Amino acid sequence: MEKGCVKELFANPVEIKKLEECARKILKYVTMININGKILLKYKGNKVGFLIIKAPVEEIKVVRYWIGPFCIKSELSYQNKFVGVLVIKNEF
Amino acid sequence: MNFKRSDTIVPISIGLTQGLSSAFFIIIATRLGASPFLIGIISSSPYFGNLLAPFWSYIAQKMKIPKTLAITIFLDSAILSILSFIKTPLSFTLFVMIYFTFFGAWDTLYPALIDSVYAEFAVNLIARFNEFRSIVYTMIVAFSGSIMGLWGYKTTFLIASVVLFISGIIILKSKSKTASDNIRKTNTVALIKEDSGIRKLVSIFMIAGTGMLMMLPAIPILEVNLLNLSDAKIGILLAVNSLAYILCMEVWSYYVKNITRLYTTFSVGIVAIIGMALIYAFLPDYFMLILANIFCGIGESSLSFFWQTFSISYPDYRTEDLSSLHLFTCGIRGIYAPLFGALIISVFDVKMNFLLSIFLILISLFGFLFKGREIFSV
Repeated sequence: MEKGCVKELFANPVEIKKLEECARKILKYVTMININGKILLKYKGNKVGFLIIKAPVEEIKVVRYWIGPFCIKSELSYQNKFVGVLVIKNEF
Repeated sequence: MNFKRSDTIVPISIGLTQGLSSAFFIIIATRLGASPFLIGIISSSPYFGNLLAPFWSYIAQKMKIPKTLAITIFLDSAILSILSFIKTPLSFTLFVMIYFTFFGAWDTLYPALIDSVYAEFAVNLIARFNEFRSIVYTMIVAFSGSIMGLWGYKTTFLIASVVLFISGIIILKSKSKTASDNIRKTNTVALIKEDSGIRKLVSIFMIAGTGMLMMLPAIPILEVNLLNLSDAKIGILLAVNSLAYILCMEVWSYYVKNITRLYTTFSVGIVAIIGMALIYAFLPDYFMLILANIFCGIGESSLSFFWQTFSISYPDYRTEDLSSLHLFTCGIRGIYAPLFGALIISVFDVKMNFLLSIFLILISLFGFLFKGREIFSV
């Protein structure tokens, strides 16, 4: 996976555009598992988020984010509607 | 981002108001001769205010956030003025309940107001504003007890009333751009039902929280009626508690770099709360109470930090949904636990209250050590 963006995210103050680009890169590498209509996002076997609909990755936007001590949680939107969550961990 | 410096005045005013008035409600009620039951009701009141979050969200949709928030603040300012003249415990309790009912709007609508003005910058801004509020509270609460000792609580309550009125005017002038997403409703009960990990964590927090909150009526009874501490000394205890909280929040954010360390933080916090309860139960001396309040600050900060980090790290739900769940469950236990504590004091004594608290908190610690660590497993 493209790890450069994750390292850069945690090394500098978060900018929403860079976070959005990184989230899209990560979304291309995650495994998506559909469980009762909710799409679980897994990376290296660990849950990293979910999507409520399968949206085109390039059009997904980050609308809000929370910075934790070892991860950044992004709220994702597609066509101005909430579609899911992605947790980007510093250990990615 | 066009950040307005005047926006920092509001959290600073709220910190001042809390340090000058609401931090001492329970102490003043005890001095006025309130029974353990009334003290229990006062302890529960802020949590009842939390439970009204959906109601305030509904009102704000009808009236707009700044207007709703400003009206509740003006009403609270008036209630503080009335409280400064009240001398009977029953009326004092009644007005404190009304005060916290309106103050519940602050917890719900202020983040929503900031969110509507600052959009994606709001999350970090709210955290910063909350830090300002805590720092101002810590500084003022250390002195307000001395002011009360000199001129009585009437003076501090009236100052707080004026400060609160000014923050109401500033809020009224705020221009929120859009209806906020922050006040979207969350089905917290469904969240508990569908996720066993969340159920375990909520159960652990409910047991620990019950033990912690049932001590609320015992603390002022011990400090005021049994130890005869002055308002100035109690103010220092409150300030020490708050300072320990602020410093530990910083320490945790440097220390916690992975899940294992987050678990350690929680365990350290629970042990600190047990240490605090042991001091109140067996070594109730003023200087030991200072240590107990440091332990209390450590414990409270670790539990807040744990849930805050959990809300951000748990990938199955939105951060806001998990924060709402915490607020809701805090509201539930905040209502029954102080009343349960008051019952124990009435039937037995203050010491029994602390011992039972220790017992409950120990159960939650064992629950966490044996079951709680599975929460983040896949």
